[in-house]
Amino acid sequence: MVSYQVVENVSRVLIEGDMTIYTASEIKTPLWEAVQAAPVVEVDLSQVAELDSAGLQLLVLIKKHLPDGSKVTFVNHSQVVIDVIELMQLAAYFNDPLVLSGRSTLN
Amino acid sequence: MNLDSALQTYLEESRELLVDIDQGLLALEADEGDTAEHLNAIFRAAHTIKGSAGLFGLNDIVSFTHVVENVLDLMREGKVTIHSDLISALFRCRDCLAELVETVVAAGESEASSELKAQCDQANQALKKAAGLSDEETPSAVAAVEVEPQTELSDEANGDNPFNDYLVGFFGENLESTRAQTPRWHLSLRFGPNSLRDGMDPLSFLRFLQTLGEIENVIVVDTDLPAIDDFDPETLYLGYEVGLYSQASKEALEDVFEFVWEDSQIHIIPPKSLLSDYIRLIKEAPEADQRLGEILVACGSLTQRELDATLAAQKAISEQGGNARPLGEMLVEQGHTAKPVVEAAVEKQTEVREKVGREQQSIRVDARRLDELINLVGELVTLGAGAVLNARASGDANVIESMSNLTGLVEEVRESALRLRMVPIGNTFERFKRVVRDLSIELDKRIQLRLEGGDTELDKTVVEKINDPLMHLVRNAIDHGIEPESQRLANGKPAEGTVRLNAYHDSGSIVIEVSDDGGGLNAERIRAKAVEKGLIAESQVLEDHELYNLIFEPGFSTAEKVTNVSGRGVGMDVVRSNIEELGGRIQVDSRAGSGSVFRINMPLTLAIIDGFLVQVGESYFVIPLESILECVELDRSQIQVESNRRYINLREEVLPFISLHDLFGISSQKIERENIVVVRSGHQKVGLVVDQLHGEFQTVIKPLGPIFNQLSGISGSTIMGNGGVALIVDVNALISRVISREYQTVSGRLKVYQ
Repeated sequence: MVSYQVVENVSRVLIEGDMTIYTASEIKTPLWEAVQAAPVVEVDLSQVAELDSAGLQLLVLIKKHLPDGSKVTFVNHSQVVIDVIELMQLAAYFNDPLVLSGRSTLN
Repeated sequence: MNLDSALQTYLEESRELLVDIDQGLLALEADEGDTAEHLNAIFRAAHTIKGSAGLFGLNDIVSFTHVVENVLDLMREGKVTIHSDLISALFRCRDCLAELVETVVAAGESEASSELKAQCDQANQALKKAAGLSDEETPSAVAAVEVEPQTELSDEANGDNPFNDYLVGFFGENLESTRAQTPRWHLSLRFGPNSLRDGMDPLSFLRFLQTLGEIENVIVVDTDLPAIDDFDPETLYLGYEVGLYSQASKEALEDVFEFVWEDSQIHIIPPKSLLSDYIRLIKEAPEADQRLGEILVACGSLTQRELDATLAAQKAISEQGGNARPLGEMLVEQGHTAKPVVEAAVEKQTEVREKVGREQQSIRVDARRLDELINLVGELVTLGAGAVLNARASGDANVIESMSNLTGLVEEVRESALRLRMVPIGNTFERFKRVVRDLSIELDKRIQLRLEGGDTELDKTVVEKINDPLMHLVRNAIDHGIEPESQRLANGKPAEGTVRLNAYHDSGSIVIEVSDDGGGLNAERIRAKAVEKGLIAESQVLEDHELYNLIFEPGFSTAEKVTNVSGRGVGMDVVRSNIEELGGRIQVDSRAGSGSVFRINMPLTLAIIDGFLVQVGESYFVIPLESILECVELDRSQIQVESNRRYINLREEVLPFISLHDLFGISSQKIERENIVVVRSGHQKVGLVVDQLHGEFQTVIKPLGPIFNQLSGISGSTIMGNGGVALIVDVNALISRVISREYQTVSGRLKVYQ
């Protein structure tokens, strides 16, 4: 489920639920629309429940094929997203501020 | 293997490749042979220099060569036409590259000086200009060209390929520190596009790999990701490069990918064999016509199982009547091995074949080890001689026979060992093509260089040291020898001058000739000059060839016009002393109007000779066998004395002789029979009078200490089988001493009459 709001040239995107092979097709079009809606894009990943390679590929896609002049940031990564980004060592690639959740520090 | 020795290898390799580039460019310029082949050879050489420089992080070389390589590539594709300016620009770049290699690698400077960099930049600009590429368009235009076909450059042109970054991370800045790290596997994973649909998520594989070890490094390769419109969310476009610490076996890791093996390209490279190591390993493997598969197995990047499977597949295809595809291609296709490694292996094989075809196989061996071997063989020869003496003394027929078999074998070993040091002089000759080309442009003379006898072999140390004197002679021939074109035409000669380098064996020595078809030496002018310099008396009568050889006297130069090519009369005497230091001689023959020949006689080797043992009083001498013509008994009644010179009449021929008794001041009671050993050097024959002849003797030359440097007539010493010392006679020196003694007497007398 992708929803977005444009406030003062910033498109705030929220992805809820799974980002997997089963949902990738549904997510792609609205996500791309949301990314194009404003030059500054903030994608909230706090509500991503599951992320697999298909989902990850979508994140890579928008980061790589961003419209000229746009800037996209992924924020509020949920734990599953952090896990995948850590496993794939993509933190530097995305270059977003990652907030370490309580779980990984406490465990 | 440490980095220094790797660098050393790189340096030597680069020097050879630079020679290849030179030769390729010369061939291009002369429009000889297959242009495409020359271009390929030049490109390959430049590419290899650049590639290896990259491994060592020599960025100056990499960036400089990159431009050259681009232009060469455009030339290969026919997008840039070849013309003389372009070739000159390439020559210039080649020289800059040579200088870069020398300063950065040989001198150990971490960076080229700004001066050199500026030179390189200029050379690069000139090259681009000659290639018709304007400055701004070059990078993009060349990059665009590179990307389209599958050229070797495409990877490098694509600068933002994360795999490159990964490789840097993988190898680190410093190769040595990487080597010290714990073993790490390298996995290159390209899952099939349908993996996601089939439920094979790369993430799961990575998670599973975590159970087998520790994932150190992951690079997600996104180069295949299409534009948004072509993007299918259910297709996998990402590739993965994984560095993994693991104790698992290769089979265990292969099993991880068992279910995706068919549709994917999975390359697993075992630990401790970094990619760069493979490439270097393959390049440095002893040259032999190994099969690619064996190379890969030996390098550890391939298991025997993979090799067998691939070989079976290849065989099956060929049995079906299809053309067998190259093994390397199949391996890559089947995902067994990373492409750069296969390329290196294939390159290696091609290189090996080419070299085998060209000059047999060759192995790089440390010269010191070779010297050590030859030294040991020398000892063996000496001891063998002693053992033979003892065997003879014992009178035991069996022992004598065994010893004689052994000696025969030792002799063969000796010959093979000596042959190890022998290299053909051809490579040295080839270098002069470039010298002649540059000089003929500089002096505006048309000159062709003819090389003959390039296969003639001589000792490596001699080859190295002969280079400078030869260089001087060649420059001299071009500068002074060959006349300007107008003069040549006026004299009815072809407009194009010829300089010839020739080498051949002659009675145990090697003769190297540098000849030209120029104006020849002017005997009158030499004479005038020699008189002016006080070398000869004005009234002195000398044959032409004696006059010619005066040009080797110190301070002698007849050049009327001093050019920056020939210097200021500090030439020929230095040439002569260099050659004499090597135990050689130089002579010149000339005919006015039709040219000159400089003839250098060099000993073949400096280590072991076949000698002939003679005795004078209580002293033993060895005369090099090659210089001996015959031995005859001295018949005192035949001695003729004429104005302080002694001759005998040898079969109606006048033979001057010298007694070793007198020469070395050895007193002994006169024995009944004296012998005369007739030796020759060049055209000169001289007799040496000795007491006794002892026969052939294999001689290991031990150099005399520095104290004996001034000693003329003796070139070294050797230890005989019985432990005694014999001195080795320097025939060349003796002969010239006999001749000069006559000459001195003659000129001395002339001076008296003045």
